Amino acid sequence: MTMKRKTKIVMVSTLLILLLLLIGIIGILEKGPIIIPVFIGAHPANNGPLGLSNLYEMLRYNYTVILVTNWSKIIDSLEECSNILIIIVSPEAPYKRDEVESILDITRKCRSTSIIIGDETGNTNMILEAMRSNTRIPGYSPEGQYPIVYFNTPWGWSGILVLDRPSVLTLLSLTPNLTPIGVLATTTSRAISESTVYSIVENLGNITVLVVGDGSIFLNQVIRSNTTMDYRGFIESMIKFMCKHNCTILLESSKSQAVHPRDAFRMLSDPSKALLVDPISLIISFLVQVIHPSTWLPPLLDYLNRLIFNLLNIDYVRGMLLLISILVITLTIISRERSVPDEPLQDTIEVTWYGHASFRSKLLEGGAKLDKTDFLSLYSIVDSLLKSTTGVSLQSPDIVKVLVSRGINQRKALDYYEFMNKYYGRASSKSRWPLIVFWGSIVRKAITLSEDILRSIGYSLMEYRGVEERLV
Amino acid sequence: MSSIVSPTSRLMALVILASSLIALDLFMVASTGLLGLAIIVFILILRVYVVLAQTVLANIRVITSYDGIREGDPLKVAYTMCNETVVPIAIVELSLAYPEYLKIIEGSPGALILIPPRGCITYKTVFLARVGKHRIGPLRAVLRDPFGFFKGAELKLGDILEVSIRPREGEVLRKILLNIARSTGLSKARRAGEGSEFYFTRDYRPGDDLKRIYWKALAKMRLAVREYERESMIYTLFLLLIDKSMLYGPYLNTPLEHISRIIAIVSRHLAEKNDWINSIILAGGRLQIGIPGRGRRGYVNIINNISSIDYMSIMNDRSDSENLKALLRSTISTIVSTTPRSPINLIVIASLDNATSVASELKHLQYLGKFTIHMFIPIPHLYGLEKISPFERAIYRIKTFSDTSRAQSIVRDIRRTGIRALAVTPWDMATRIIARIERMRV
Repeated sequence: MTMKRKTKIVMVSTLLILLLLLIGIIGILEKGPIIIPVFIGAHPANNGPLGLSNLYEMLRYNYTVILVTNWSKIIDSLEECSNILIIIVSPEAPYKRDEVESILDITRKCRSTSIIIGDETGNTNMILEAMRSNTRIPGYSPEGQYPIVYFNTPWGWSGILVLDRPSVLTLLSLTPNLTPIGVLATTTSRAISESTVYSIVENLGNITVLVVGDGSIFLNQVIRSNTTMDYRGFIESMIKFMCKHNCTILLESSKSQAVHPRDAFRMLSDPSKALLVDPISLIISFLVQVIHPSTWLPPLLDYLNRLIFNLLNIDYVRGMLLLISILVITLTIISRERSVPDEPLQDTIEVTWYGHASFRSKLLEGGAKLDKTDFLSLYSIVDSLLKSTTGVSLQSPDIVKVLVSRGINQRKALDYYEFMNKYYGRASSKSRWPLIVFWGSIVRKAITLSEDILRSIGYSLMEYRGVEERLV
Repeated sequence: MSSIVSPTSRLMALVILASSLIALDLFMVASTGLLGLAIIVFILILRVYVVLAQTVLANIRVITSYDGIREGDPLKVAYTMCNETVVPIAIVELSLAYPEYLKIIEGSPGALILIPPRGCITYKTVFLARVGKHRIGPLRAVLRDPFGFFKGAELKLGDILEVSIRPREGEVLRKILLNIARSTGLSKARRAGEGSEFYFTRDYRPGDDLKRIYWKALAKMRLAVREYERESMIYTLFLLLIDKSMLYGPYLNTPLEHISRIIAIVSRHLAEKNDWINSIILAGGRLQIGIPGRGRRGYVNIINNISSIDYMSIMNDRSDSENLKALLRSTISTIVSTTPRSPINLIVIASLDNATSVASELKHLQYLGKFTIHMFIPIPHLYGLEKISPFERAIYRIKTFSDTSRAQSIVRDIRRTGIRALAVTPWDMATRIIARIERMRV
């Protein structure tokens, strides 16, 4: 069983990864840091005391809530437009004409629309005007702080709530469609005047408008507060009433000013404003800034640049640094690049296959050695051929006559007979004479003599067409 | 990057030299820093070029072609490399991969080339074609920069060409065949009888069919009838069992090549007589069963079968005697199931090493009655007699006499099984095989 060695396949080289990383960092650097704005006003993303995050959580639990950051685009994103509730809390800027038009578009296109306005600034007056409401919000007056307001609502909730710094609502005319639902607690129902109404409900055809002259009742600090006054119950019942059955809530998020994280940090130094900033949002925003290469890379490069510049100004350090750099580069090149021997490609070596190839090549080089076994083989060849052609063995003395009859000289035939049989006896250990034999030269001589004899009977050892013709 | 291009040891020396030059400058020994930096820049430029050229070379378009399908003819092989980019490729070392047993007669197995931008270059070489199937190519290529500082990884360019070479029917063999055929009077299996081919006319004898009367002769006041040549059904099957020893011998004169030529000429001869012929070749542990046919179709099938013999599979064959026996049994069952019931001349050509096993398996075929088996056993060591001097030839004969004796005894043993076996030498193989086959047609 062979063990398979695990091989590590590198699909992407480290150098390439580092290069891509560098390109990425430069790209991010070029794009600039991501700024996460910090909201300090009535915005659903503000988790601080003046934010609406608690209201948003509360709504989201029961309804479909869409945060509106651009009124002109919201109509296109509404999937269902049967029942819409718009909630506007303390907008920090007045509405523009096109924004009001967009809100009116929603009221026109959707089957029923309700609007809850919690505003003490008067920034929503344009909307009220456009909807031909008889209510206006003149704005907060300093003498009216923390009024105790009695709410008696058509949906059955009644009670006393303390408002923050509300605006008293101005009622242009008291029509049957307009119902004041929040009045100063000291005011009796018979003596309702312009200066005492803080909240109304007005029916404008398919639009129901609920105005509270104070947005603070929707803020986190109020919803979170543990007072005996049931702000939360009031809000929940109000939304339930306004939403009728199942509605989509559009929560205004476009009129709250965002603060740059840097400015938000500065606000921390002012004790009066410090409480307005949500620390978690601020930390996240700060971390994003710090991690971003645009914060740390330019100073780092600048520092390195100055450091190298200072070092290069010192003579011996400059020399050493350059030397070390060269050494490092050289060693890196040498260690990374595994040099290969520059050898030429091996061409195919053509071969001709032969049986007895090694012996044949030795023979061609003249290095073949002959011994007594070869003499015996030669004797056997000649003997077989003589027997098969003449019927007489080489061992027989009669062979001399036979050879003479085939044209061989008498003397030569006799010498051949004696020579072959003498050494045959020695090679086959039948005789010990002659004592010393150089088989190489004897076999060579025997070959030459035998060739003459074999040619007389029509065969040859030396010709290409040789003795095998008869032997096989 | 580093995997496709590697520096050579020359580059390492150059890098050390460049570093030394810069270091000398730094220590104010000599003003050589600029030269050192120039060398480094030069190396970088060179490397970029080699990587680029190597990438281009790896994707180069290569067109392969060959010309020559007959044994002994020049087999021309060409690889055309087209560089479709603007990057010149210099310098490429080429080496053609081809079987070691093939011989180049013109051109070179390797080359140093430069492929110009938007240009093509063709590498050509010519082999002396030998019978069988050969795989030539691909071209192995290694790129180097002109200074030899970088070397690309070895690439394989082009396809492997599978070349099938047919045996050549030499004039000498044709003459041998014609001489033997004439001397035995067997140039055609002529016998009078039922058939379609006109044979001769003879005098009318009572009882002859009136339809056979030769009316033209009647005009000369002679009553004669036509005689037609009897159509004989002769089926000759060649069974070749090839092992390594069949590939021993001089170029174009190995036992295999010798036998291929003889079979080619004999099958043409038999095809001309419209005999049924077929071939089965067992080579490299693989059975190549031919398609039986008569006339030219049969001849072409045999030639195609011979030209599919794969040398490398024969040389790399590691199958033992048991594998051979199993293959032989499979061969015999194929022979029995695919041949007709008429008499069949089975010409077996086996190597000396396999002859005994082959005979012991084939002897059973004789009991079926329809098979006449003739076995020819080439003696491989005799092919080594060529191209050596007469005296050395004599020594070679003496030294290899034991093999000759072995061949003798093997043939003797096989004959005892009833199979007509014959050990054949390179010079009498053609005569003996042709003569035996001709005699069988009597």
